[in-house]
Amino acid sequence: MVLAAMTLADGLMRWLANRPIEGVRDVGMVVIAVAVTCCIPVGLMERANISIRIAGTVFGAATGRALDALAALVVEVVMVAMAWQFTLFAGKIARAGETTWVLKISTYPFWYTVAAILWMAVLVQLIVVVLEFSKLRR
Amino acid sequence: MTPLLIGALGLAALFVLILLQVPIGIAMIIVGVVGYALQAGWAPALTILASEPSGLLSSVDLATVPLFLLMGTFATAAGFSRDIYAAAAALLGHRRGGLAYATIGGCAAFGAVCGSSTATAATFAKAALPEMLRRGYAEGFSAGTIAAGGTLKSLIPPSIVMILYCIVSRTFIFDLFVAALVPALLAIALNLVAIWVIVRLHPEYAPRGERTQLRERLQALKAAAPVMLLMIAVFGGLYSGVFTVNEAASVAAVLSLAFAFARGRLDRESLWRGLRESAAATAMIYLIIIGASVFTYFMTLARVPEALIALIGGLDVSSLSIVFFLLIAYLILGAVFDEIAAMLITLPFVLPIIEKLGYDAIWWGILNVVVIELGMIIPPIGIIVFILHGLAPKIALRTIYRGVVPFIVADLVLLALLTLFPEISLALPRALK
Repeated sequence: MVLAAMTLADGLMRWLANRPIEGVRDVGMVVIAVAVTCCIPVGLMERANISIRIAGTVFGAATGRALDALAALVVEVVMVAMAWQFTLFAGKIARAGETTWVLKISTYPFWYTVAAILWMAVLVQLIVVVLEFSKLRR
Repeated sequence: MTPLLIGALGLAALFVLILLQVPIGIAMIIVGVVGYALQAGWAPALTILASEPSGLLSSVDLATVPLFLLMGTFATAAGFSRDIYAAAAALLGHRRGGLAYATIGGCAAFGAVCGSSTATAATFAKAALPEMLRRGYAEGFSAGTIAAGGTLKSLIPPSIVMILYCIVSRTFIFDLFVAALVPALLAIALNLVAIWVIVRLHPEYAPRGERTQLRERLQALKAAAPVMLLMIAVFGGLYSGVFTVNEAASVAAVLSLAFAFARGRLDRESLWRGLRESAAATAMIYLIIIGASVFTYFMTLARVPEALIALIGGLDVSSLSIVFFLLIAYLILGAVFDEIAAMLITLPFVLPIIEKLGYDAIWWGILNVVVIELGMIIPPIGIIVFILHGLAPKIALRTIYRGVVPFIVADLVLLALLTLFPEISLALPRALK
């Protein structure tokens, strides 16, 4: 919302005074990445992913629960791979000394933050996996 | 292995994973990475797990999605749907079928300040359905009208479906928003015609109401003024060129939050719930888009689109027949599958074919949105019909489906018109260039 307010102010300044706020778009790109990544653990916790539950309906509730647990494990594996690759990616950005175009701010801290949030998402998904497998015992 | 075989195996693997209840976005990521690894090795394949998502996560265009979702959340919390409906009902309620016309108009107006079709249908089910039933409107007709009104959202900018199409097809969001204006007006008009025909054939479905006093009408219009202001700020700013799409999304999010607070309708609990729902929806959309991007990368590397173009180029059929075949395939796919996911999975194959046939990607985007709109009310999995049934369990699913049939016909007419006359969609963006 802060970034939205800044973007709004930037647009208004450009329209009314022909003086856009320097660097809003510049900073926006990396801040957006962090803000959006913050949504991923929430989405995993809320199980907001779209999946088709035909097998569970056709083969019964127990099969459905088993497939849910298996799917949660698959999601966990993919999240681990993504978090790992983003950690490597942030390191690459740091070594290359990449900066934003206008304000010349180093971008690697933002990408390390993205990687850290993804590792948090891995932990959240781990909880989801444990919960899904515990349903199988009941 | 030929590109077509790789593509077919990739799609088969994707469907197996989806049938095993793996989330669609994750399934696309897995198939994309494994398919890429089998062609180029694991080390480069794994790097696309960061290189592709990093571009999407920092995309200013895609960031409009969470902002429009927030606008919808705040607009719903502020009770805008009730205000719009009350104003429309005060103006039209005394006519035969007036509340149905008001529902379509209200849904269209609310759709302009809410990013989601399902949210539009759900909020109008709460605002309009009890009033329609209280005034003696038929259950199926009432529910059908609300379902049809909810689907209109997909075609009314700012539409999240359109933004996703533009991101994946690499077309300009503004162009698609402009192209959608005339088709959206046509869709509203066809829905109103459908209501007119129904109430002429079955007057008992929609009895006339009492005419409201001028003072009440003015009060209702005054209550709806903030929504109008929000619409003018977002649409006026966007289409006059004052704001970019991203800035318009920011205006929408900030103003809707301010209105919700100013009207005292946003407490801590509803704000927190709204933010959590928006965050979850954002995560879901980004994971699907990341999946589509990784999957497209694999398909492009395997040269599947080129092989398909060569195959279809060798067929002795007209371009229009291929387009109709694809639309029918989408309608069938949408009946058993999530429509947006179906669009994102098939776009890497289908769009190159469409462009090779000489059609415009913006025009195809509009057709895709209309097909998605239809998929939301067509049996057996019409998501909006299910939502309405969930909110009004006393109305049988069969009754709701019967009620939406005239609106399905209206949407099919719209789809046929847009397919046969691409200028309906393309004239305005071309004129503005």
